[in-house]
Amino acid sequence: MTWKTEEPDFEVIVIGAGVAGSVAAYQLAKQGRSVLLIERGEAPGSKNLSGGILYCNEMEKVFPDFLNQAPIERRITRNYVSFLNQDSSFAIDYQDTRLAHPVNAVTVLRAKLDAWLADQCTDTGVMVMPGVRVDAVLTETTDDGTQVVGVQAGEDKLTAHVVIAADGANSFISRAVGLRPKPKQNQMAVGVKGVISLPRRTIEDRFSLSGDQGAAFAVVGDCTQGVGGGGFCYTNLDSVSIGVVLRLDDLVAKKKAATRVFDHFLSHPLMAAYLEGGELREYGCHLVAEGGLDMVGDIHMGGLVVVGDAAGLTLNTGLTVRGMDLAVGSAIAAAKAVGTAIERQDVGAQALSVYRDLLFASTTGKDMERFARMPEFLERERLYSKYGDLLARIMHHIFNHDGTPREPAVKVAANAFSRSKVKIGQLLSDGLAGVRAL
Amino acid sequence: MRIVVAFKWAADYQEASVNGSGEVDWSRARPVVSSYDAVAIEVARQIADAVSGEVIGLSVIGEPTVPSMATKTALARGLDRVVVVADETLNNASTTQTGEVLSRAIRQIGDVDLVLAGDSSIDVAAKMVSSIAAGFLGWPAFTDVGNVNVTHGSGVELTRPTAVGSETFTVTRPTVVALTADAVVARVPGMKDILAAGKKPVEQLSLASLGDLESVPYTVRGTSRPSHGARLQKVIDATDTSAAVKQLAGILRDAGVS
Repeated sequence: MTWKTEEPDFEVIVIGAGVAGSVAAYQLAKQGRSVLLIERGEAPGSKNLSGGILYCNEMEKVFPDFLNQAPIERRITRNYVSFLNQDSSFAIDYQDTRLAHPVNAVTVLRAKLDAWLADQCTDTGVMVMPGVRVDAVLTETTDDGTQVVGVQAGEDKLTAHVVIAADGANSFISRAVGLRPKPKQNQMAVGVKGVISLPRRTIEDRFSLSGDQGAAFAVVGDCTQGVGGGGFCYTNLDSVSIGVVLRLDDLVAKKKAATRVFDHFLSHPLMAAYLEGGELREYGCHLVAEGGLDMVGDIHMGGLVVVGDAAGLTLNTGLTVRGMDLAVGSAIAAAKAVGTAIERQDVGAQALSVYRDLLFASTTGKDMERFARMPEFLERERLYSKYGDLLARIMHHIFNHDGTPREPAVKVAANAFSRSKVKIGQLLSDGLAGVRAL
Repeated sequence: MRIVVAFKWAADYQEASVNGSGEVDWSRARPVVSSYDAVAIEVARQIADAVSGEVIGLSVIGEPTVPSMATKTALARGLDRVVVVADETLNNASTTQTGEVLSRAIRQIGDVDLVLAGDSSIDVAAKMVSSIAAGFLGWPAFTDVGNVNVTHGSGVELTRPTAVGSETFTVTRPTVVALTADAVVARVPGMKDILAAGKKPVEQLSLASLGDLESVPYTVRGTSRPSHGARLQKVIDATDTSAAVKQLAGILRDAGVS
């Protein structure tokens, strides 16, 4: 049993008012806990950036009327996956109105969403404190090991039964307290994103959308100039979010500058046509955890749990990139575990391990396990350079009638294959690995 | 000693943007307590701590209710309490109206020895409101003051930097002072300051309780943006940095920039 009888300043202190932190704070306050939510930015959302779309089901568990009340931009009904080459591209274009009934995924702008989440927190009694950077957590040594007992910012110290670290992909808090190691370079990516203003109608015309329907593009290949990672583009109400996510180790190895790769993607003929006439409204860079399950590691200790990006909870399945729904999933598990621990007056490491159990019993944890092999698969070089070229060669043979007699499809494929730099063995290996990873 | 600090909950121009046709888009700019106002609060706090005085924040807001963030943010910076005049009819109030409302509220607060304000508001930046308030109060007004020194019994000593040195005034009666932006470095509120802010008193005054205003509202007939002159339309290739620097310097020299 680890419990301090003297009343702390707050029962729970949450560090970071992103999706994970705000949702955890909101739920704990709903349970009647006294909660302090500290945010480094001048306002919740001002420092946050997301490069993905929000799959809503977890959020709807917390806010049943999320779709009607939260500031969402568009409901995704079109998913477009493209292999991009310098002068050609090959894409899968999946458009389905069923994706909007019920709504599955939406686009959001974090400045608006995070501000809304913070308002929900305030309305539920959370003390929201922006403009404060937590320098360290306060610890004490107990019989059960190190126990986190509060936070320190500047000279001020505040105590809590439990601290929730929701301080983002680079979580300095969990690193400083020795819980989590510095992520490896191949587990981290840098995201560069711009938000480009375009009139509503223009977006709907260019992306073939109607009403508040939206499109999400996932692109690999020339968009990253061969660097491991990908490009994304999705539609907001009257703007388009577009950017690249680049694996740090590969970016360094290939000596590319992230901003140049971003510029290259935006000026690629495929994307430029969508963006023409738009005005750059926001621009930012952010670290992205890409290590998958391997990166999750330790996410709790006495008096501390780690949620969201800070816990390495992001998932790149090759076709979909997820982070915010996993952040919500972890916040739900954390709020439940922390609430129960305080109820039972035991906030030691053993008691808080319930968080981990709840997380891995949930969809969030199960999906992290399901896609455990994906990061390794996505490190395969060929995905970013050779496959796009191979697909385009096959398509070119099929669609380019140059007056010579047509060859059987198998031969076309075999020819394209022998001319591309992909070996049969590699294709089989990649295919197998891809299927296993999924 | 009772010090009133006038502050404005105004949109942060750093988050406003100018679009291609020259219009300013304020839609994404959040309201803040500006860094100018933070300087005034800091100066007031330092004086009050030295002579055990009281610092009262005073704001005029064109909304029916006072946003709690507005008062909390200001209180966390070192005010003892806040008085707000909140009324929808004050939305887009003119500098004259705002100055008059402030003067009435200062009278209502009573026994005020010193009124401090920042250099200007950050959204309108007229640099007039503090002087207008002083006019309505019949008090002396000083702007661009870099230092305020208060000692028991001998009034307030104000120092104003000028182009060639500085001027010093000793004022022995209630006065209104607008400070320079760099008069002091304002402290960053800590967690305890922010928590304490939530517990400090906030008083809302109705506009009606201040009596009929004398100032006549005026209407802005139109605004126009400044012309930026002809552009040189020169693009420098920065692949070779040192060559680019030389080229830039050359262009600036030719354009008469020295």
